[in-house]
Amino acid sequence: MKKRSLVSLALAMALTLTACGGGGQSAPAPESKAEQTTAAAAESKTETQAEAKTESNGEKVTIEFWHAWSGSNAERLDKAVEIFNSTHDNIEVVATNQGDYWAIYTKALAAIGAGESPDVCMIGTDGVGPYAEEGVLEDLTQYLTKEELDDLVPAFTDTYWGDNGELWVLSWGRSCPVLFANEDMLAEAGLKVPTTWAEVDEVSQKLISEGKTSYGFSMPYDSWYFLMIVPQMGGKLFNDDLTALGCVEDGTLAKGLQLYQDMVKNQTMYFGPTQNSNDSCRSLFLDGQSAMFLTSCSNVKTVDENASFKYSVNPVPAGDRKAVNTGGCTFGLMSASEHKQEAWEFMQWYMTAEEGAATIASQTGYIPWTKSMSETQVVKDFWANVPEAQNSYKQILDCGEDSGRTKVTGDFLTEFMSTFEAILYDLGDVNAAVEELDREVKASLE
Amino acid sequence: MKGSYQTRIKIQGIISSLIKVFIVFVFVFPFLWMLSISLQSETEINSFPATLIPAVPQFSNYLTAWRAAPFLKYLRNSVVVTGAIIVFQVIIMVPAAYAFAKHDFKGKKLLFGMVLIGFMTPLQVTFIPLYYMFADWGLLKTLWPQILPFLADTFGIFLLRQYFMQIPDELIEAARLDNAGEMKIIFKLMMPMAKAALSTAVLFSFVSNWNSYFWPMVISSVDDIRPLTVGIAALKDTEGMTMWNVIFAGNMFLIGPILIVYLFCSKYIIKAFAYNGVK
Repeated sequence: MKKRSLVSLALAMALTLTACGGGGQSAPAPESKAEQTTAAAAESKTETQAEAKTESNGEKVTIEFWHAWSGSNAERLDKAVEIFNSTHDNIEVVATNQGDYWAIYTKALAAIGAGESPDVCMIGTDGVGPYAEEGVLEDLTQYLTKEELDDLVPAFTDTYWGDNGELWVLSWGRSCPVLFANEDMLAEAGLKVPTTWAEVDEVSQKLISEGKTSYGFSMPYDSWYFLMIVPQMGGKLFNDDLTALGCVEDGTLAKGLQLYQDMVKNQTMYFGPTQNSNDSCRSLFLDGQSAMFLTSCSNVKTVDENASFKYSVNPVPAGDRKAVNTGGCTFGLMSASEHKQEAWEFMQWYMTAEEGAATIASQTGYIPWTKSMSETQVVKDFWANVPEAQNSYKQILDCGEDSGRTKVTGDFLTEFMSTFEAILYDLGDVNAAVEELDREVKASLE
Repeated sequence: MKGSYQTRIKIQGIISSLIKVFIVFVFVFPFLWMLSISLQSETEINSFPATLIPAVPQFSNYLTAWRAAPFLKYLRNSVVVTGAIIVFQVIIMVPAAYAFAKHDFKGKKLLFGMVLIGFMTPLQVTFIPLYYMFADWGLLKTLWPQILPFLADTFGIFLLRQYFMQIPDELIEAARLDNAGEMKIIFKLMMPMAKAALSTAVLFSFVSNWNSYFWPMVISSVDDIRPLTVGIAALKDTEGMTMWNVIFAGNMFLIGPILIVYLFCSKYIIKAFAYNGVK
């Protein structure tokens, strides 16, 4: 009897372990459940619930907004949400930090499948594609007026259109690469801020040969710069059929990466480490060890507060043509939300109210993403105080473009960065690295 | 002859000590570095060359980290979750290990094999169905999802089983002759003899669960149920400047309890591994 109880205990424990350890026949294969389009799974569960909710008139609706901001940015976000809540009696937005953008993605998909979808999610600019492919984002063209659509800065939305004319996200905090330059160092050497990559190389070599700096410019480890060089060389990331990288087929990727590698070899470029890259590159610039700093315009406040020299914010150097890609983050309305109308009200408020995106832009150095936003008093005051910050907006209007961003998923980014590392850390053969990338991307696209 | 032998022994002793110091340095240095950064100013941590001893210790970094989020709540959650897990694990793994070590029954090998499968299966494989299960049970905004999947510690069962197998059967038979029941044998005979192994299993479980990040990150969508690890990860601003000094100050909150627990359990851990080594 006692032996049986021990056996039973061991059996119960083993079964518990198996159920929780993933070996079991009872637990569904996680991939197969995740692959049942999570939107469809949530829809069947929440459809009737959504109908019931819209019928509950007059009750305060809670909107769950999942975001990735923390620290001072989170304080600004919370302030904006507080203002919204105080001016909307029927809606309460609850904004919670859920980790980084990929953590939000993981959690959101799990939550949607379990019928616990958030209403609005903050999504990194490189993360929209996976959400769109999962079918979990609401088409915002159903909610935007024609005037609002026309008011959007094209460079910030061009890449987020679906194949059937859907708009998947709105911008939350948008940025672009800019070239910070140490004006004092350049003036001392009798040089001007370069506007093309050839000029960057020339200026850098002169400063290095005169012992004024160790590197021409520092560039953080980021896929952004991989993606930027393609349109600058006149190429498109993917081909029209989406079967391969168009920039490989037309040679523009190899040309751009060779340019980067040549600049690393002669110390024109300092390519940042894989971790803490932006901080390292910024330190190099602020310490005078690089004359220029290619980075996000959102660094403008930090540089402004810490630079002991005169600096300028300039458009990124041009290749065969002028082009700059975009960054920052967006936010989307989840199709499984039970309160879409109220969630949209919050999104629309953020877009149009001066206390929303305009204030965030003025506090952070992010770029206004509608034309109306650029004309608000709060943004004008910010540009008056920090004139350099306006150059980012002008650059975006002039040559902002994103090539095939929604098709770029996490797997592609990993492959891009492996190629980047092979070329810029290991200084391997560019053509060989590009060929290998081409093979891997073609296999992924099949 | 004797002189050269003694010299050789001395030299070997010195070399052995140097190797030990080097190994200790390799393991301890990252923690010293983390402590140093946690006390540095923003300017100092970004300066080159780096400094190990802060010019002016910035204890305010700890205050900043503590105030950045509801850390008292996160600390409470970590203590409750880790404590509950350890209690349940001890209750389950001791009898389980005893059964596997000292009893023969049908299906024993199969069951032990399932234990090992659980040991080898990472949570990343099973987290989706687990999430759905807890959603269906309505437990998502509670601490239970952070506790229930970890009621049994496979490593602890494995470690204790190995330890129990070394205890002579004659002792158990003698206890049975004295009319001791199975529970009495477990608690009065096996556990006291396995104190070292049990302490080791508990400490490993404590460290593992205290530092757990992935599952708590996935399952905690509200602040009320977030543990310290998730809270500290959120200190890393996704879009702004990374305040490493504040983040590392937060990390010190995380590792502090582990160091305290280790201070109390270290002799048992050494005893457990030394005992196993002699066999």
